[in-house]
Amino acid sequence: MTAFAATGALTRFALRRERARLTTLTVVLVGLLALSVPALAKAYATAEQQQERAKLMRTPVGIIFGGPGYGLGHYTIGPMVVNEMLPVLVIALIIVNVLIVIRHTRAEEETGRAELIRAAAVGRRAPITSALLTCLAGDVVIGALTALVLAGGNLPAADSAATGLGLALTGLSFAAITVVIAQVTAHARTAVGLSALAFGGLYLLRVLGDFVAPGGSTLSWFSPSEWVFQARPYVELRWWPLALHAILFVVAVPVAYLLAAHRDVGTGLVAPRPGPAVAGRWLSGTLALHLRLQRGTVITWTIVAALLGLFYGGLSSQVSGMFQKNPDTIRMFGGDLSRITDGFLATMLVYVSILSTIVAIVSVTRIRSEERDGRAEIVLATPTGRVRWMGTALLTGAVTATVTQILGGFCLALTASGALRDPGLLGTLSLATFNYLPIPLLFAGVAALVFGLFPRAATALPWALLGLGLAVTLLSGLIELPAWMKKLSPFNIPALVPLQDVDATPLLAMGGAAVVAAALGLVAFRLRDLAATA
Amino acid sequence: MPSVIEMRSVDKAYGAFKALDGLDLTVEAGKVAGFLGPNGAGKTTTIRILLGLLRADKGVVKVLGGDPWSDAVRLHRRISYVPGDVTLWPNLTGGQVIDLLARLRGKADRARREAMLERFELDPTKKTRTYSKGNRQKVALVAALASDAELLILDEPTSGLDPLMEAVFTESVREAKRAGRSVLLSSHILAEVEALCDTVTIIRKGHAVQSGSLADLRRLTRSTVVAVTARDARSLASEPGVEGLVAEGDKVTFKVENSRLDQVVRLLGEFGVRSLVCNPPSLEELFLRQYGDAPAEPVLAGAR
Ligand SMILES: Nc1ncnc2c1ncn2[C@@H]1O[C@H](COP(=O)(O)OP(=O)(O)OP(=O)(O)O)[C@@H](O)[C@H]1O
Ligand SMILES: [Mg+2]
Repeated sequence: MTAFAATGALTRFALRRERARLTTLTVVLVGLLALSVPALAKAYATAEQQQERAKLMRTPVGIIFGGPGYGLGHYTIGPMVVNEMLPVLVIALIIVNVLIVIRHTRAEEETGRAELIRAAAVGRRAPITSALLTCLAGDVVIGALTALVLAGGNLPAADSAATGLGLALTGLSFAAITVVIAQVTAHARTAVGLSALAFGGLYLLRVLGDFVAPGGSTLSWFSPSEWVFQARPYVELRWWPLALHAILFVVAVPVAYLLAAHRDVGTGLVAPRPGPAVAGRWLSGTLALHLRLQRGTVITWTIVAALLGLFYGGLSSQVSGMFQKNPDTIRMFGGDLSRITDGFLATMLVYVSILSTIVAIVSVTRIRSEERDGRAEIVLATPTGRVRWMGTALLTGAVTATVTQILGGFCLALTASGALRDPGLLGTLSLATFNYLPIPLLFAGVAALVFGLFPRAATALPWALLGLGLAVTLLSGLIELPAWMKKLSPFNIPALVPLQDVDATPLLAMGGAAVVAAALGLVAFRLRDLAATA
Repeated sequence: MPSVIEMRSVDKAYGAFKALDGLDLTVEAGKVAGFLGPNGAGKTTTIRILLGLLRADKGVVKVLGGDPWSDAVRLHRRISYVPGDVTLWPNLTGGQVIDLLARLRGKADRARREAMLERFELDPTKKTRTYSKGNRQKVALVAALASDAELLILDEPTSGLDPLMEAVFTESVREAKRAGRSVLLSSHILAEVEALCDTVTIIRKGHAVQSGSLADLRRLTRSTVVAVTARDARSLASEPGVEGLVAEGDKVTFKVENSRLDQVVRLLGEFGVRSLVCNPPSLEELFLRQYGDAPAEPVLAGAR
């Protein structure tokens, strides 16, 4: 069929471009699994220890970060691996599948490379098909190795095979979903955002569904990432949930082909509408420009922060019951058993600050892409000083992060005071959220400094620092870290208000550091060459 | 005549790579200056230095009497710029971008904006992501030409324009000149340079190899002479300054250095001239000589 012409060649080319990434991913994921199966078996050798562990899996944290928690009645290494290890592999594989699909479909079109390719004897369906085949290759290898590692760890072969197959199919299902999404938008960035939103939404659905009933409820079934767990390997294996992937695939892929057939190369399905011929009065000056450019991102993240606040606030009345007997989770929430609810709420405010930090970093790192793509150049060639241009961008970041932090905290306060029937909490938490404001501001300042000093690292480095901070914070919730190491993460620096009292000193220090870093960044930018690639 | 741009022995390196190497460039007030050179010669680098986006490593740089690095904001009130590669904000419309840039400049002239939009046939309601390359360039051109800047700095402003628009551009630059504005125009389009520029600077490897008026540049090279003579004129081949003489019947074709032209024409007269055509070097010849590593043999000799 001519629609598929050159699919083979394109797939080989795509695999070639992905080989380093896919190999790294395979080694990391399979290696992680190979190390953790024996480790788990050793750490939880007796039935008692295993049952103790099962309790943790019944907690919200267990459900959020783990799987649905099936087979908890008689918890053994098999379900332990699936409930606790497999989710990491599933998430990683989904992300990689999404990125591969976007990279080889929408991103190719956006950069115009696809035009070169489609001008050759390449079928209309070939790019989509080759992206899927590339994903398939990676998924099959990782799935097969997973099955082998599990079976090699003295686990039943059939169940291990189902686990590996389920993992591969989950990755492939999300590749199929992404292939559809990639047809709808004209921009790779939007496509990644939409895919992330789809995945995040489906994940939340799974978490909610699993909250309702241990082992999953009807709601959970709407999420494709749930199906591999519903095959219940090592407990009561059933293959048919995996067939759902086939159904999804058979529906999604033809839809993508259909959409692709009805649009032109490089365009989205949603045709761009004409806009105003004249700029509104408000679009004047660099601050307005920065705000206008970040409108979409900021709205998205503030909504996420508001939802997070509302959701966990509503959950807060359940917390004290859930965590009473679980020392592991209590460390994660401040370590004070008698005031576990306050600890939980404080931790949720820290989570809100993660989102506001993301907003701050998105906002500040954006100036680097403005510079790199040459849009900064046309602004700076007008009577707009560099300090003004960058300063207003920093202001934009600070303001939007602050709004996110306040809104998220307020939403948490709203539902928490309702759920706990404590009207006073509304004021307390709404104020407490300010305690965490120095965190996003510090990240914004550091991002500004990096932008001034090392423009080429200006995007990657702030995100890496965020990753590092999050890793330290996550780790310090799980195990006892030395105090100095704990404080390496800005998220661990402010006192856990409302569990603890406000400690102004570290807050002032962080705020001061943020201001100094931002100022140095401004000076450095003022003194360096503009670094555009064009 | 005061100069609006003055660069003397300017150096600029990117890491170990020397992009500008002792560059001299002068643009006089009220003149249109052409700025030419092969790809990678350093034109865009020069322009970015003039705008204070890059800082020169060495040398003197003066724009409108000020230092473009330290007085950038003050000077930019009097300068408009069209970059060679126009990237815009994909979600804004062309009209929004033009207005935004005008407001950043401080003064917006509504009537001129409309006139320029009409002249360049640009639809201001389209999102810039849907513009073609030429249309993106028009956005920058309209924004620059609608301003009242006294100095226009244009980096290959017509590389995406069709011939009709190219003519509109040429007319607009002439108009700017009549209004007393100065223009620095980097370009690869020789006809455009010839039509617009009072002076030309050619750079190679970050160094100015020629500069002056077009007439001056022409004088430095060779003209092509085609003559029909009563008597055989082959013996001219041995005359100093004459090269590549070809004779067919009573017709001779040769090139002659312009400094020797007078002398050679006098000699030619002695052979009984029946017909005489003398072509000045074409711009292409001029450039090919300057662009190439070795001075190239002029290949084109068509009348211009
Ligand atoms: N940021 C940079 N880093 C390193 N080298 C650069 C950078 N920008 C430009 N160069 C190099 O400097 C030289 C001059 O580049 P420039 O863009 O000024 O050339 P140009 O004359 O404008 O060329 P063109 O006619 O192709 O536009 C080129 O060799 C280019 O590769
Ligand atoms: Mg250039």
